[in-house]
This record gives sequence, structure tokens and C-alpha cells, in this order.
Amino acid sequence: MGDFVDVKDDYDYDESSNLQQQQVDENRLFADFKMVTFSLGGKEYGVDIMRVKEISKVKDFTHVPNASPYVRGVYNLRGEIISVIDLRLMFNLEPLKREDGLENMIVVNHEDHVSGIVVDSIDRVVAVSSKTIQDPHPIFSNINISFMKGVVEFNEQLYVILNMDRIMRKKVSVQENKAVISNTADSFSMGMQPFAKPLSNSNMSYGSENFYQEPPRPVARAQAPSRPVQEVQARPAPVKKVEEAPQVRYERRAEPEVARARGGLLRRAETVDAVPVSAPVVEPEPVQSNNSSQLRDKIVDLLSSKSEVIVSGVNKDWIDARADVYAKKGLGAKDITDVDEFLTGFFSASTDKLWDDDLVDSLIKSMSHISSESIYAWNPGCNQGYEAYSVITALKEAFPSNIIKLWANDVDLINVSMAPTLSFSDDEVSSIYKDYMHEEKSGLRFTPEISNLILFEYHDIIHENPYPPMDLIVARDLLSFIEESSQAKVLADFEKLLKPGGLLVLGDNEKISSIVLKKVENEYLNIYKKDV
Amino acid sequence: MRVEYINPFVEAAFKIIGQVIDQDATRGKLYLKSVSQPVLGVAVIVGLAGDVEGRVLFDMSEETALAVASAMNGEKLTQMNQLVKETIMELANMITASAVTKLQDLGFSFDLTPPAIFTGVDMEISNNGVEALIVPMEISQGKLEINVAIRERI
Repeated sequence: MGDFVDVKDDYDYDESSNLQQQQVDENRLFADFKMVTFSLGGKEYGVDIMRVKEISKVKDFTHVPNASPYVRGVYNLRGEIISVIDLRLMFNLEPLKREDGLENMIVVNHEDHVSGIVVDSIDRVVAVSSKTIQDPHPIFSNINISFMKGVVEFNEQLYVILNMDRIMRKKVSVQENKAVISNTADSFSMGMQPFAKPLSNSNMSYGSENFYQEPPRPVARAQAPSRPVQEVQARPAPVKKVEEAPQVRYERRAEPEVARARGGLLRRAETVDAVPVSAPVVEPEPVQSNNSSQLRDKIVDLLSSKSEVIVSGVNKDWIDARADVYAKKGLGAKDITDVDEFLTGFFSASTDKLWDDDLVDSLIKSMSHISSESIYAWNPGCNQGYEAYSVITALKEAFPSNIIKLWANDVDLINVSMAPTLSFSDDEVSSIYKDYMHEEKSGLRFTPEISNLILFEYHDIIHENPYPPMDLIVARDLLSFIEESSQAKVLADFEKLLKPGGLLVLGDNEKISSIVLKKVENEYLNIYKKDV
Repeated sequence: MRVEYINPFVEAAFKIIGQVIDQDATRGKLYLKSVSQPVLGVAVIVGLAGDVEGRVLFDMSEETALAVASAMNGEKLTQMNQLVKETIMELANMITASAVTKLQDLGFSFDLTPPAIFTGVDMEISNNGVEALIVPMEISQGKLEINVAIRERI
């Protein structure tokens, strides 16, 4: 520890360079901004040298329990205790395993204290002209921009200059759990933009974005004829397409015009001759009659009026296949009187009860690649809480010694209010749960050690979702209850909040198409994994 | 919002309003809101810190505020003067403090900031990132909305 790394100074530039001489090598002549450059995930970054106190190779950080995931811990820097954050974790990159355990740390000043940031490798000091620093490109999203001061080119290499104030502020606010002193005189000599937004602004609350990656853009993809995957465009601003477009997605329910559009969609889908993967019917024969499209229109109306299930790209395959079953039996629209009967088999296995052992085992197995120190999970639409308790049991089984936290929320106040005190009768509890339960007057209950890991909240998922990056999101049969106009936002939140490699569990008969979430084969659960 | 927090606020509002303003106060249906919302005319904000971060907002029309202040002071007040403002702030303080005391008993530790009052027309409150729980209260003096927006520190 404490070995200093040699930093090469690139230029001996003359402080008194005459700024009037707008000649030859701008970079060299007017190099009034020096930055320490480092790399992270193969990309180059820079940080103002005025903020850098020193650079060292260190190891053995002291872990701080319950700190944010990107806080590596604290470190004793020659008698001074500094907190250390890992930029890789903060920017949601895969953790880097070093054989010797020695990490490259940049020690930076922030107001009146110092902190360490761990990076992949520290390169050198580069001097550039502050005039050549460009504002962050608009292609980066807001969240990314808040950590960036600008972008500069040097020797044909682009450097992203980080705004240490922002990064440190975020860290201080989270880790030290106290109000942050307002931004006093900036130590930059350059006219950089001061910190403007309040701390509580959700835009900067969590470092859940990949810093350098362009946000995935919605891409119109041609449907492979052999596999009719229904696109749910997981973009915040779904574009309404013309009727003739290959994918018509977002229609409002109430408008009659659009009802026809939906019928059109269903008819189009019929022409694709294939079997939906999870459909309960073995071979739904496409029925081309007028009658069948009327039937489907009727079903859409029926479901919207008599149940809370909303027909959308998420569940269209199942609804279509189910409608075909009715059509094949020669049943017309008027024969569907019982919506619940129509929806038989739609809802996922073990809904409104503790999950069967098979499901728990299969979730545990599918999480074997997760290596976070603190496991964060989210169960939106937890209803009475059965699912949340099932998930926490699986997490505890899979990660017995990690810090685990599960946020479970529902928009039904009564149901979710009962969830913290949910009790069970002996016969509905299998042995896998019994280890975590104890007997109380009202019946079997999960021990406080387990139930305290779950935070039940009254929350509507279509509002802001201010959560840290998640390893697991269990949202079975949730999207089917969300208006199509909000689905895209919810899916975008899922994509954003999942850590790379994180899992999203959807309902058995639900289906999404996403650029970053890829389907994982699993016998019992419908799992999607975020690309690393 | 964490479910354990909801009841203390609802109970505190109900109890304090019943004690100091109107015994027959009734509570409307709770709901969640995240978009910006108009303020009726008089708004008191009490900030919360500690295990959580957030604020409680008490919102009512000017007429209601005058009637409530009149009831609490036992005299007829017709102008939005210092006394009225201080009375309304005190009401907000009592309700929030009572809720926080209940929460302390449940093991959550919160601190409050002194209340601040806003009056005016066409005002709007926006909360970025935190949804608010709305507790509508119907009292004989009018309508009072208690708007609780808090979230866990992470």
C-alpha cells in the first residue's frame, strides 16, 4: 500500500503563454487545463488535476456495512480515514477482479475532505486548452450528463471529463447520511457550471446508468416470420405508428377508431403461422373468418370492462390463442359470459400464495451468476405479500451471508398494509419456508430477521421509481394490469434499474421484447436477463 | 411510501383536527399522486429528515384557513394576518409532531423542520421523484388536504 504511481507530465507549458497568439498547436499553446486521465471499462476519462491530491495503489479497504453498493469502504491514508468509492460499480460496470488485490486509487479533494475513487488504470497528465472542451453530447441522457463536465479530444483520443463535485456529492449524501453543505466557491479556475440542481433531484440519485454507453435507441426491427415476437417498445416515448406499419403497438383503449386498429393488429398476427411459446393450446389454428376478429374485439372490450387485465403486446399471444380455442369450439362472442373462466390459466403459477418449491429452487439456480455484495431486489405489484416472502426466502437461501434488501410495493393500500404482518397456516407452508418462520398466536409468521429485509410500500409503479440498482425484479402479471401508455415507462424503469446481469421475472404468459433484456430459458419462471 | 408510515399520519391528523377544530371531521379516501398539483391558497410545509427525507404539506383555501384559525383562537378572524398564519403553522406542527411521535414509538427516528407557510393564488407544488400520499380531510370549515411525500434514505 501507499506505493506511488509515476505520472508523466506531458507538457511543460508556459504559464504566461500569450493567449493572443492563435497559432499552430492550440492544445499546446493554450493548455490551461490539466487533467489526470484514467481508464474505466476501456474508455478514457479525465479529472481536473486541481482536484487530485495524490494517486496510489492500495488494497484491503474496510467494508462499511449497509453503505451504497459502490462504496468500497474506508481506507486509512497515512492516518487520515477516507471513504473510497468504486467508479466501476457506480457506473454499473462489471466489477474488476484483480489478482494482487491492488487497486488504482485517485485521491481527490472535495470541499474540506478527501475521498478515494477506484479506477481501472491511471494513465497520465494531459494538458489541453479549456476552449477545446465541449459540452457533453446530447446523446447522453440527463443522468449521465450530471456527472460529466465535458468531452475533450487529445491525440485523437476522446476523454470524458468527470464532474467530481457531482460524484462526491452523491456519495456524501448517501454514505454519510447528513445534509450536504451547499456548494461553496468552486476550486476550478475554469468557468465550469456550478452544481445547480437540488440534491433530492431524482436525476442524480442513483448511479444506475452506464456512464459512457449511448442509451439504447428504439430500433424498428423486422419480425422474423417464423417467430412472432410481440414488440413492446420499452422506450419512454413510444411512437405511434401508422396502421400499415408492421408493428402497431400503442393504442388507447377507449377510442372506437383504435379498437379497430387493435382488431387489425390481431388479424395481422393471425397470418403469422406459428405457435406462441407459452400459449396453453398446442396448435392454435389461425382462424381467418370475420367472426373470429369480432370475437377478439369483443374479448378486448370484455376484459377491459369486466376485469383489470389490459390486452396489450405483453399478453396478446395468450389472449389470441385463448380466443382461438373459443372460436374452434364454435363459440361466439356472446358465449363468453364469465371473464374469469376466459382467463383460466393466464395468471402465473403460485399466484396469491407462497411459491411452490420448484419455483423457489429455479429462482435460486438462475441467480447463481449474481456476485453483488449487497443484493437488492424489487417486487412491484406484491399484492398481499406472498410473492415478496417467497422471493426473500429464495434470496436468503441463495445468498445466506450477503446483505439483502427487497422493496415490495403495491397500489392497493389495504393489501399492502396487511403484508408486513402476514401469517400462514401450517398446511400452506412447505419445509423450505419453515426454517425462516416461527409460531405466533395468529399462526406461522416469518421471523423479524427475514421480514425486516422486506420494505413494504404503498406505491404506484407508474410514478417515479426512486430505487437503487437492482439484482432482481419480480413483476409477475404486473404489466398486464398497466395501461399500454404506461407500460413503456415501467419497462424502461426496469431496464434502467437492473444491474448488468440482473434478472427480471415476468408472468408466465407475458412476453416483452427489449434490446437489453434477453429471455433466459427456465422451466418454471419467465425470466429475462439484462445484458452485461 | 413505506406502509408503516401511513397510519401515524392519518391517525395524528384525525386526532388533532378532532381535538382542536372539529369533532366531526371525516377522512376521505387515501390516494397517491406524483404530478405537480395546484395549491388551494394557503400551504404549510414541514420538512422531515432522519431515517427518511421528505415533507408534509397542509393545503387549504384562504377561507378555510381563516375559519380554522377563528375556531382555534375562539374569535372571528377575517384577514390573513400574522395570527392566522401562525395558527395554521401551529396546527401543521401539532399534526406532524404527533405523527412523528407515533413513528418514534414504532422505532423510526424522524426530525422535523419548523413549518413554513405560503399564501397566494395559482400556486403549484412539484415534487421530483417522490410520490405523495394524499390524506383528504373534510371539516365543517372546508377541505384540508394533507400531502405526505417521504422516502427512505438509501
